[in-house]
Amino acid sequence: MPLPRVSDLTMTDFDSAALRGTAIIAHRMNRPGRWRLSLHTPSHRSTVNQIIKVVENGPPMLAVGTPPDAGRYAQSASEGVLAPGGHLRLQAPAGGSVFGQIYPADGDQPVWDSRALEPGDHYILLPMRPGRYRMANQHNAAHADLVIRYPDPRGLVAGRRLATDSVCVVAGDAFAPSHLSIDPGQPVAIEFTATRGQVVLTLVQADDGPSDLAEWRARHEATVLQAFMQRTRKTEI
Amino acid sequence: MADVSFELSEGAFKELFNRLYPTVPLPFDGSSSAGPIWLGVEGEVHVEGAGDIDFEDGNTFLLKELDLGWDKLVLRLGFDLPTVTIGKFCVFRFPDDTPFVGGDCFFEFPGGELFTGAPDIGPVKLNLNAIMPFIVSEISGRYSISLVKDGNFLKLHADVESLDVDPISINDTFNKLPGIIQAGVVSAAAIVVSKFPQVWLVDAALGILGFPSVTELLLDLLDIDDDVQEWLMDKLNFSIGLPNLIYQAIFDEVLKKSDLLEIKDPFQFVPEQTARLANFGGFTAPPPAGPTFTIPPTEALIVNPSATFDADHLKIAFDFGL
Repeated sequence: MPLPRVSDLTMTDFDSAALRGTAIIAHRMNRPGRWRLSLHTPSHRSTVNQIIKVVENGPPMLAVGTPPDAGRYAQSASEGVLAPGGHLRLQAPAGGSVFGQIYPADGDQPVWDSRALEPGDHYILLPMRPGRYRMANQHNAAHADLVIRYPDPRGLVAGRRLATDSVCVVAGDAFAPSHLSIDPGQPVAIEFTATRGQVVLTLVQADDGPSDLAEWRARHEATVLQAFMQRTRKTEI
Repeated sequence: MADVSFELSEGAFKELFNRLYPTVPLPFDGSSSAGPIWLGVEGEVHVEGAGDIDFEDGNTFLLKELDLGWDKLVLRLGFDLPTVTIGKFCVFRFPDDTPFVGGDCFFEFPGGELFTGAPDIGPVKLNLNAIMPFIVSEISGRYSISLVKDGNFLKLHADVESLDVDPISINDTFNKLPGIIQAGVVSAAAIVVSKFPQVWLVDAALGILGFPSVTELLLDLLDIDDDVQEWLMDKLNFSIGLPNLIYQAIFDEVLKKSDLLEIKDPFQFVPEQTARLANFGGFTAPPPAGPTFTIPPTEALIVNPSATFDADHLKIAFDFGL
């Protein structure tokens, strides 16, 4: 699977029921047995069909589609093995959007559907675009506000650095916390507890930075180049 | 003692040698990458002639200086921006008390990446023609001479045995270089901005890398200390291998130019003449009519030719095969 493209980093709408871009879903599989995972496009065309054997001594993680950075737990696309309690990692192919269903290997009724995530599931996303977002669970009234701060370079000049650690949100009857403020590049990990859910994150208002930033940028460039010239010019004797 | 011998002084020999030159502009092109920087050079030089020539014992002479003229010098600069990994983190770890793998991450969120693929920016072309007058290039060579029969001529050949191209250096360029480099960085920064029209994305990537501006990122990648000339010479000579490029450009051309002088062989004492009976005189007027006839040239083959250096002279000697 190719690495995420720049367009994936500029996404402003996220939906756990239509997995795409850099977002992933972690689903824990507890019951031993043979299962079949199908990934579908929104038009219900099946893109991946994989047998999953949940057996003792299996690995703790199975990444579907073998993303390039699945590391030592990468497995083939046709069949995979997982330990009971292990986690399935779902990610959409580049440029695509998918939802997943798990069936018993010899059954046709899904036992799990990523369009309605269950307690214990995680939906992890990487919103980058600065601005104000609204997060909502389509299965209940829970909602939250998310602000992605503009990465003002003046902060860097003043010695500040962007935060890079992940932010955790618990999705129950309400989101906790319900107000978040993060820097671009901080992933948001949503854990479902005691409720089913479909999380939708939507950009409400984009933030293109302070209005005086362009003028500051021009002045700063001139200062930087002047310093370079002064540093490298030889003093005439 | 040879039938014919003559000597050429070092000065006269040098004059003769320099009639082989100058050459036409000889192009060269090369590149290399070192970390985040990709450098290329395209240029043209021509050989102007010999500087100092020293005869050596036997049949070799040392060309202490082959004068090089510069016709074009362009530096190409490209940047392979460092890959920025965004948002990668460990989601689940083994419990600390798990044997062997306790605390290890087994489920990672891969995040995203910017600036994959190389080179990302450029190449930007920096015209260094303004500093060509300040370039010092030292080329020396060792030649051997020989006399070679070639058709109806005995030719004195000067064949290059080895050429040494020293790393180039630059005299003071009167501060032209910093301005040229600055212009290149500004162009490259503009390319970055054009490739990523979302200014916020550039600011985010720069923020993660720790640079307030693209210009500062590029200057950091170039890693130029206070001596720009020294930086440029290091890149041209050792990263790109400019001396080797010049060597390859001029060697074949120098190889072609080898004939210093030629002597007709057979050697003609008296050339072919056309005569009539009347030319021989002694006849009463009117001179008798008669056919025109040709007197063949008086000539002799050259044998036992030799060309050797002797202190400050080139001695050429040969016999006639009479």
